[in-house]
Amino acid sequence: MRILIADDDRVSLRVLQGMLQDWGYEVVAARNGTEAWEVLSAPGRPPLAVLDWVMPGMDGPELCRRVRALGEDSPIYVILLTARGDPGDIAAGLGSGADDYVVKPFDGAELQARLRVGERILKLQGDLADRVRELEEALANVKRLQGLLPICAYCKKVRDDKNYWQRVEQYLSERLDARFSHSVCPTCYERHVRPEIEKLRSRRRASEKGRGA
Amino acid sequence: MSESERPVDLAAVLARLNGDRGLLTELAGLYLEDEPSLVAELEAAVGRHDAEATRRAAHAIKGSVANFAAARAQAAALALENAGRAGELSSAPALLDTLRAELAAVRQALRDLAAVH
Repeated sequence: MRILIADDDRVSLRVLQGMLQDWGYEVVAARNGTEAWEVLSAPGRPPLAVLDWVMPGMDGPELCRRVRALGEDSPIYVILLTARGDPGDIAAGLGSGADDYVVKPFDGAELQARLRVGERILKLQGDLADRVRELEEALANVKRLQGLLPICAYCKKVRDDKNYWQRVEQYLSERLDARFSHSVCPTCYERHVRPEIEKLRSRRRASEKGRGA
Repeated sequence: MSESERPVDLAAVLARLNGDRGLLTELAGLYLEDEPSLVAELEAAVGRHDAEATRRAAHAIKGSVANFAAARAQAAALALENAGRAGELSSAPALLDTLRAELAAVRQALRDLAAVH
C-alpha cells in the first residue's frame, strides 16, 4: 500500500521511510507541508499519510483540514506524528481531522499496529462505498415503478410517461426483470371460461339432436 | 559510562533500525549535513531574543538528535524549547552553551561511526 510521510527533519523522515519500507509500504516522502499537499491533492494520492505537526509551509493540522475538505470519494487515513503530546494538542490534532495521533518518540511496533488499524478502516470504507453503489443502482431500477400510474377504468391499459396507452403486461415487462405468461385464474375461469364451454357443449348437443331427428 | 550517559545510544538506535548499520551511517551523514543550519537558526533566534523562534528551532534540534537516542543533547534542547515557550530567555545563552557542548559530543560520536564504516 502507498503511504505519504511528511517531516521537515531529513533524519526523522529517513528513519520513518526505512521502517515503513521494512513493513512493506511503498513510501512517498515530502520535506514540508506544501510538498505533502501537492501529493495529497493530486489524483492517485496515497490512501495513508503520516504527517509531522510542525512543518514550514503548511503544518500537519492544516493539511488534515484540507484533506477532510476534499470529501469522501477517496478517503485518506491520516496519522499525526508529533512530539506535542499534551491532551490539548492531541484533541486539537484530532479535531483538525486526523484519524489518529502518535507521540514522538514513538515505538515502531505501536506505529505499525496503528497503521494496520488505518488499513482496516480504509477497507471497511471501501466495502461500504461498494455496497452503497450497488444499492443506489438497485434503487434506480426500483424508482422506475414509483409514482402515480394512470390506468383506464375500462380496458385497464396504463398510460406511460410518453402519453401512450399500453397493456399492463407490456408496461410492466418493459420495466421489470420479469416476463408474463398468460393463464386464467379460478374466478375468471368460472366467470368467463366455463360459460363459454357450456355454450359450446349445448350448441353441439343441439346440432347432434338436429342431425338425429 | 552507561548507555544513557553516552552522547548517542547506538545499541538503542540500531535496535530501532532493525540492525541496519548502513542506514545508521546514512542518517549520521544527513544529520552532520543539516545540523549547522539548525544550530545557526537557534543562535539567531536567541541572539534577537525571539522566544517563539527559539522554541521552534530548539524543538527542531531536539527532534533531530532524538533519532540517535542522544538523551543529554535532547535534554539540553528541551531546556531551551521550554525557555522559549515560557518567553523567559535570560538563561538562553547559558543553555545554548550547554547545548552546543552536547551537540559537539553527538557530532563526534557520529563521525566516529562514519569512520568505522
